[in-house]
Amino acid sequence: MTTTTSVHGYLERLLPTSLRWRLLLVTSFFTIALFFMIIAANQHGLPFGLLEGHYRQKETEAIRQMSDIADDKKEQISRWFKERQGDLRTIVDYSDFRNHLLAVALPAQYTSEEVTRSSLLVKEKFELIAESYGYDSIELVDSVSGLRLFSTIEGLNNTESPVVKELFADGSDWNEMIFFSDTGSGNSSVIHFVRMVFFDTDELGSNSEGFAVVFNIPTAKVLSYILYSTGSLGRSGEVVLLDSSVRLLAPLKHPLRDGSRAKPLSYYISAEPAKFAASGVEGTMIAKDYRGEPVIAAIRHLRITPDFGLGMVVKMDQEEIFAPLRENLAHSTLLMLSGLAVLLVFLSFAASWQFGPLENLSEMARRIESGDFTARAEYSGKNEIGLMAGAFDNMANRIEHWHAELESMVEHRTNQLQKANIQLADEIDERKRAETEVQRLNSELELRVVDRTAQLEAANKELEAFSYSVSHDLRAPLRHIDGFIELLVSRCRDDLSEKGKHYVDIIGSSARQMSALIDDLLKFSRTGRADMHMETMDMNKVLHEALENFSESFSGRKIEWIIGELPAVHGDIALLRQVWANLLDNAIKYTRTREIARIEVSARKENGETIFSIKDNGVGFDMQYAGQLFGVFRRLHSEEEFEGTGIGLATVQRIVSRHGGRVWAVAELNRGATFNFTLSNTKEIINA
Amino acid sequence: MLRESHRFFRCRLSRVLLFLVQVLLIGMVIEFFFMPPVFAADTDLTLHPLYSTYMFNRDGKHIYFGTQPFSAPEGIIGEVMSHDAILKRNLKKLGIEIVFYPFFNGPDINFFMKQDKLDMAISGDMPTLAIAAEDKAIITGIAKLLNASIVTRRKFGHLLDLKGMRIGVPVGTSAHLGLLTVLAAANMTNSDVQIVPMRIGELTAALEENRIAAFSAWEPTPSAALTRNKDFVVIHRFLNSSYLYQSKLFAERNPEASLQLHASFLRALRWMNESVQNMQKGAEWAAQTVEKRLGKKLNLTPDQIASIANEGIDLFARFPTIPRSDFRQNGFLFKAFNFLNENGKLPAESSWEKILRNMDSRILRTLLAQQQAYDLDSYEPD
Repeated sequence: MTTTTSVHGYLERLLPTSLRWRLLLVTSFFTIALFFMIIAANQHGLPFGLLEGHYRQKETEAIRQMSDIADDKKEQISRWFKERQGDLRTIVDYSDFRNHLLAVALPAQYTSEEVTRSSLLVKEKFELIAESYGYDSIELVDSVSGLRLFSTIEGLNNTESPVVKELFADGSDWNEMIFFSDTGSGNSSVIHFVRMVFFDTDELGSNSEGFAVVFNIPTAKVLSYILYSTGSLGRSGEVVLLDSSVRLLAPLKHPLRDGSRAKPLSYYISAEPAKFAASGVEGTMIAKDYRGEPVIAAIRHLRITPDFGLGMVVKMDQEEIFAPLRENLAHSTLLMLSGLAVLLVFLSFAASWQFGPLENLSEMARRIESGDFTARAEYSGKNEIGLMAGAFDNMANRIEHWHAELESMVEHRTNQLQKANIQLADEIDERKRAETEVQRLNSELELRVVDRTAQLEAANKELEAFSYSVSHDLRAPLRHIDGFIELLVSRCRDDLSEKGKHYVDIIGSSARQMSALIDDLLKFSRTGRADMHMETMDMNKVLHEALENFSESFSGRKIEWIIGELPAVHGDIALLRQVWANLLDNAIKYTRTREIARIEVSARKENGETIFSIKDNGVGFDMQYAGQLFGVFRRLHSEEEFEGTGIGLATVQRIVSRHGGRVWAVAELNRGATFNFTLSNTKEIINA
Repeated sequence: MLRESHRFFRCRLSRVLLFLVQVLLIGMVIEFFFMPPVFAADTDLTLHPLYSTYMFNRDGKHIYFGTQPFSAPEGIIGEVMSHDAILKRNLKKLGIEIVFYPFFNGPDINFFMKQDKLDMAISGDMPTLAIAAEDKAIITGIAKLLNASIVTRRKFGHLLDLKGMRIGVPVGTSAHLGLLTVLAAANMTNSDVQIVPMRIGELTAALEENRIAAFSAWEPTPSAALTRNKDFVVIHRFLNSSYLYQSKLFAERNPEASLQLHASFLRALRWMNESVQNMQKGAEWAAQTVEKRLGKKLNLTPDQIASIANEGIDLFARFPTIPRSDFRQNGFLFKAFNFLNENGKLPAESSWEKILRNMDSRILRTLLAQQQAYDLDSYEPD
């Protein structure tokens, strides 16, 4: 079974059988599928860029928005840092002011008036800057000791700046550093801008390598407006600032996963966007933030100094970004379902409208099937169903008409058959009676046959016995007659007159003839009584043996012998030899009048039996007497014409009959005769 | 046998094989006759058509400096140093003449430095790490802090849009490492895209001809591409740096000359950073060198190159000591070192500790402490 066939089979079992419901189901299924495909394509687009879906558009829009905001924030932060760096560089690199700084840092190298004047100037300058820009403080710190040589905060002079000292202790090569430190008061932190003031050691003869000017700026005061002015980022959007170690620098907008709040400068963010931003990568990412929420993020890296960089993540939750689309999706789905409901109602109506006539047609067909040939679809629509209904009605008309005809024919034939049946029944009865009668007659006939056969057998036996007795008993007196005739002739012939001699000749000839008759009768009797010794023999040999006995009888005559090949047969060799002898004797005798006698012996197969034939060109006979030929003592020629007793052919017939065959003759006067016989009871032996 | 072979060649499979063999042969012929020779770092670059003309006289009276005029700002730094009359004068006092040779890339420079033919050079982060890891050079200062970029067409708004696409990149460079880094940022691997090895000079044309969908490269190639085609955008950036380094043998052999060269380096940076005009002048010199000596043409105008170069040196122009933060464990350069190692670009004996040992900012610190003595704020172009 092919896959297609098995699928069809499965669907056939699964779906309702009604076309109407199938139409509804299939149409609904495909409509829903189509709707979802349209919605999906609308939302998510098509492959190979054929159609950009709303989700993709929204995503692209969000990416662009995050990127724009990130670039803007980066620009703002970079500018802010540059401004602070610029302020520092101005203070440090401006040669005149630098000299005042040197005087404050290295008072031993200057006069007290210069130191005092410089201190005042430096204090004034620093306080002005700090107040103007909202700095916590500005300090001058020794790079070796870490001591504050000057601070805008009263009372901090000559105190240790631990953070800056740690910075200097690193021994790194830098001239400008920026770093964040925790003020210890909750979420607040301070940015420290540090710039080294280098000077030629030889120039001033000092052992100090340098000192630093430090700006201490509260993060919250100056970065807040940059980081937290994120109106366009919505409810979930925020800007996250980190250092290169992925350490959080400013408070987060949202709590962590566990509900707690991350503390700036203590918390290290492990989210991917933060890590990449801190490592110097810029771009956009679709990833999860520190809460594990899926976001779209724009990441930026700000290289503030060769040794100080910031990572920035501008992000917004995907849920908020795509929320309008989900609302649209919900609306679309609702709309789709409503549309589907309307479609189903319409389809239902349409199905009824279209399938109603089909159902009616089906009902009409059922009525016709059940025998109501008056059922008609009677649908007048012009569509395919109308055509089908019209064809159905025509077919129904035809069926009704044929049915009526058929009924009539059936009735007529039924009547005929009934009559025929009656006749047949009568004939059958008659036949039965006849059969019974025949059987009875057959039985009677058989009994009669048996009886008559027995009688005939008895009669034959009696006749044979009588013939034998008569011939045997008659021979004795005949012998006497013949004997004394011969004595009379031999001893008293001279004493007799001519008439007496003639009378004696006649008596002698008659006696001899009678003797011959009796001999022949005796032989005939023997042929009927003697037992048959059946054996397979060569008929050619039997024929030639019989022929040898006649060789003297036709010596001096011209006889043309045509002897064909005779088959082997099964029979009594002596009797069959007698048959050939008698038939040959007849042929030789009745061709005596011919100058050249022609005797032809042959055998042929006809209708499954072998017919032996002897054909001569002798005197023949009249066929109307053919039935008398084989009677005892029957002759068709006189003794004067042809000698004989008339017992030879009877003997032939008796022998052939005893062999189960038959003998017959065909002749034409003066044209010859053909004697045929069969040995149907004998088995023809086919020589291998 | 002839009949059997005839039957074979009538077989379809044999015809396919025959076709493939023909394609292979044609490709080999094309490659042999039409592809330009590729000189990898470990092939004999002395046979290079340009490099073979360079003379290296190791008589102690000549110093050789390797530059990369294709790159910005390091190419400009080298050109400004080559026009530094103060340098030449000071070296002349030491009886030394300096020769500046332009090279196509850092690995080419390293080839000659390892043969003790070059004494000092400026190269990108990867070649600098490679030669330092082999203990052949000392890194003394930073020459560039810039971004390398991934450039693509405007229709690709995000790296995820490049899934399955071809991205051209000079393999084994910081651009390659940067590409892998941003792929990781987008939760992709290098098997999500088709990385196509290309030379830096082929990338823009390949993108224009749509043979690739994007490329990763260092400046000025991305800026040149954006200028050339308004449809190109940058979707990702990552850190890219260059360094000044000197041969260890040179440092031991001639410390005074080394000092003068470092002073020229500082002088060049300050002069370039001083004004836009100075930077543009330096860019012009770099463009001329590229055209006359390398036989190529830069795709940007001198002022465009100057703008890029200014951004590249702005943070450290007055104090170009090596930023330690980039060399910390698990920093960008540490990852770059691992990348080179994994790709077999470093000898077996290379180690990160060797790199750290071969960083020395004391020369620059010494000079910075004696600015007037070494005329760091003066510059005389010759």
